[in-house]
Amino acid sequence: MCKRSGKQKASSITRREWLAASGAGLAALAGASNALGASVASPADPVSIAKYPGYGKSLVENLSRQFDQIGGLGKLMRGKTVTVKLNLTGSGRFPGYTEGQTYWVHPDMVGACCALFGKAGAKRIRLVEGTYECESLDDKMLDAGWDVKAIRNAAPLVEFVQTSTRGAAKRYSRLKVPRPYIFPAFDVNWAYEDTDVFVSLAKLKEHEECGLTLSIKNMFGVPPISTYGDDAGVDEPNEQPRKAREQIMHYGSRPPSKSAPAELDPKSERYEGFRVPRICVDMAMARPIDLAILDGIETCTTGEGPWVAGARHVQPGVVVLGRNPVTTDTVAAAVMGFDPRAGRGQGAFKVIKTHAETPDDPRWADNPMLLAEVRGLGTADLSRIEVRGAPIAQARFDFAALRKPPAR
Amino acid sequence: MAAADLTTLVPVRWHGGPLEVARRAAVKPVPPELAEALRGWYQPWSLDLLRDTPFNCVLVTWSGGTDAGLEREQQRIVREYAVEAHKRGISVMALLPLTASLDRAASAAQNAGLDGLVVDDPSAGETPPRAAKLTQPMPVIPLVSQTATAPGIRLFSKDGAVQATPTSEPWIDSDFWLVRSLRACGREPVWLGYTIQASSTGDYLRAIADAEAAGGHWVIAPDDRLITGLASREPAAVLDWRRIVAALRFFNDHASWRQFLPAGPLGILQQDGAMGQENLNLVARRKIPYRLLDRAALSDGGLEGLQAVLAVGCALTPTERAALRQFAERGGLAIVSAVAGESIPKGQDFEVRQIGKGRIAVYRDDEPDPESLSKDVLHLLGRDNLGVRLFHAVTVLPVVSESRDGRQLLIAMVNYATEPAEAVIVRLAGDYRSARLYGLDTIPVSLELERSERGTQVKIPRVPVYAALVLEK
Repeated sequence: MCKRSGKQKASSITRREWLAASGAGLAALAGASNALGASVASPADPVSIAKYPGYGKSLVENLSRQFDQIGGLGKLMRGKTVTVKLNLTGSGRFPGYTEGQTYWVHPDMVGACCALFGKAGAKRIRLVEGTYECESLDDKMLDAGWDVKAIRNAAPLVEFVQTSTRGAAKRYSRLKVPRPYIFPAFDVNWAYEDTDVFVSLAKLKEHEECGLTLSIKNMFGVPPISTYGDDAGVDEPNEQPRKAREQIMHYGSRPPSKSAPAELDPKSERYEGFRVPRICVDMAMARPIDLAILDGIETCTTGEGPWVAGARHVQPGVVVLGRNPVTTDTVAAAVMGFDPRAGRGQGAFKVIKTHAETPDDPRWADNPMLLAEVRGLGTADLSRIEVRGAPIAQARFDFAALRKPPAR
Repeated sequence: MAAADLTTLVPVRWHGGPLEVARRAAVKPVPPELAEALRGWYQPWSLDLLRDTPFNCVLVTWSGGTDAGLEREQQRIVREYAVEAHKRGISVMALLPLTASLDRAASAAQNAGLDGLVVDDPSAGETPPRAAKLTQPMPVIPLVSQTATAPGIRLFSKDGAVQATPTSEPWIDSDFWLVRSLRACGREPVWLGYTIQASSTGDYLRAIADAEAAGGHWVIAPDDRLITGLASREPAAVLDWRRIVAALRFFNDHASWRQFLPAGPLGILQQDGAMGQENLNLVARRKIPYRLLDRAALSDGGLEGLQAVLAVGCALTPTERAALRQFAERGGLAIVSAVAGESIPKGQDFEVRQIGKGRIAVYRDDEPDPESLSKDVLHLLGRDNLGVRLFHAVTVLPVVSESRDGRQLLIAMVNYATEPAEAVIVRLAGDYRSARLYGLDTIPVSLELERSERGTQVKIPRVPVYAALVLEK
């Protein structure tokens, strides 16, 4: 693997190339759109796996083929506002690698998706993610060396919205959670409501405290830190927030701003391994995911970012995607060498904690796929999920074997 | 030597002689090849290393407070060396530990024909020793060695994780803010005196650039490997030395930039003490372009052009508070500490009050946590109001200044990482005619200016250790 190659490629793709590459898959997309349009998201929607040699120009063509395998994008996207929740958590660098090569979704993946969504007829593509200190999302990307202009030009209308605050709207959008675990509803940025199609575009990686970061875990970044961050206002949201979602969402040591719905049972388990997976599932129930895409071409292992001791760059060379977040995450977990049905404290959910609050902090998390399955969001039973493209065994990259928990 | 001449000196720490070997041996064993190199350092060949270089001043080992006989022998050797140095136009100054008797050292140095004394300074904030106190006056330059630190990035924490968190940036050690602060207090020249054990030539270049970017000097101190290599004419060491000299030459060639004035939207009222220094350090690390203000600036129009003034913990007089209030009423942001009896809402570190067209942010404490304060300042000011913003430059700090006629803006960029920063974007408020990029070992090039509704952008392909962007209005 050539270090920093991803960054070089990110800035090397021009609009013409994005579009030319996406054109190659147009015929296939058009042919497949009817099938997709007729389909209804089912708890066992198929999932596509493909191997990739790296990021770059073949990305658009290969992704297009994967979208075909799950029914195509045409009916889903045409004339629609498509909101894409990116996974750009945290900051810092693994020495020698870009964020996109390790713990953020890669800019080439974002650009390729925008190009394909645009070609599929999306009226508007809105890239969304929370940012700390409320810098604009495109500035955050620019700061990471992304070619923002190339992404903006990848489709007729690409917008960037940071969702840590209320932003340009007059009010927050309240999204109710059917059959909630922790929160009955969330107050979120308008962009999560004002959309026809919602995409969770996440990095395929592990998580220090929750076991896995996949499309459902990506939803943890949806609730705005103005209301759910450590410096959220007591009564009203703090529109100048700067802190993470530790106290309210991880530990439940304080409630969100009173303007937002309080959690159902403040006396319930406070441990983050219990809370975080449930909150993610609540969020995925409130804001249903129409398309889940997991970027595992290059990523990191052992933890979700460079702040986790022992975390390091790996190149599984795989993308997993599907219409259902539960089936997609289930297949992805299997590709990573983990048992997708592992219970609390088992497999991926026997978590590694290098920054535990105390030495006696528990080392388990609950499996969000199973929690989501219970709520009817999709099946986590691998035997029920049709895998298209590369078989799991062929795509497997054994994260489980690479895991090296530090000595306690 | 006149005081004005001191600012033209380009110093190098030139340890050597038997006293230096003894001094080091008292701390830890000295490898034989290093001892041999040091013993033979005060020979004409070491002055040959300075030929055709910007160096015009050597700081020599002079007094170690050890064996009197050894000290006499050292000073005899140095005396002869100084004669040879003077023939070549090089000043020789005695480098003294703070504990040395200045008067006695000055007397001996003057008798030996040396040009001045350089004294390790315990704290940048303390008053430097004064030549006037000496029986036989001669220049005394304090070396900023305790407060300054070798620049670089602390990448890894104790448990092996990269020094970063979901919400923070890597920790950068730098000194340019300190150099600026000392210069603003009228202290010239500013010589940083820390030593390094370099893992590469880049460590030397970074230390040079960090100080020079703000108009100071890091007193280049060859480490043990370089001393030994230069003494034995080892090609790799000679090559390293040439790169160091080339970097120095670059800054010497652009000495006019030292006369540029610090520029930025934030004015910081000079404050004594460690907390004031830490505030400067952290504001600099947040890449907030700033200039330092003295008290007089509050009353004599010195706030002109500023968007914000940081005056927390400054024990302002009622007149000074009134001046800041006026500044806020006209649309500025004043950041101050609460006066006795002034209440701040519970649970808040500070309160922002709208006043006229502007705001006053009032802190509960006189000494708020500098880390939080620097974040707050950035937030209150707003990133889009910084005037100069760097993107994709997490390991790069900008030092922003402008020519006295206001027609040129200089953005000196020091990269504190061992790897080059690539594809750095500089976004500027305002309109510029041209942009020219300078580097330590590259030919100056003109860069394209890209204009948008968010300002003017320039893309810098690469910042290895240092780059300077000069913009013409």
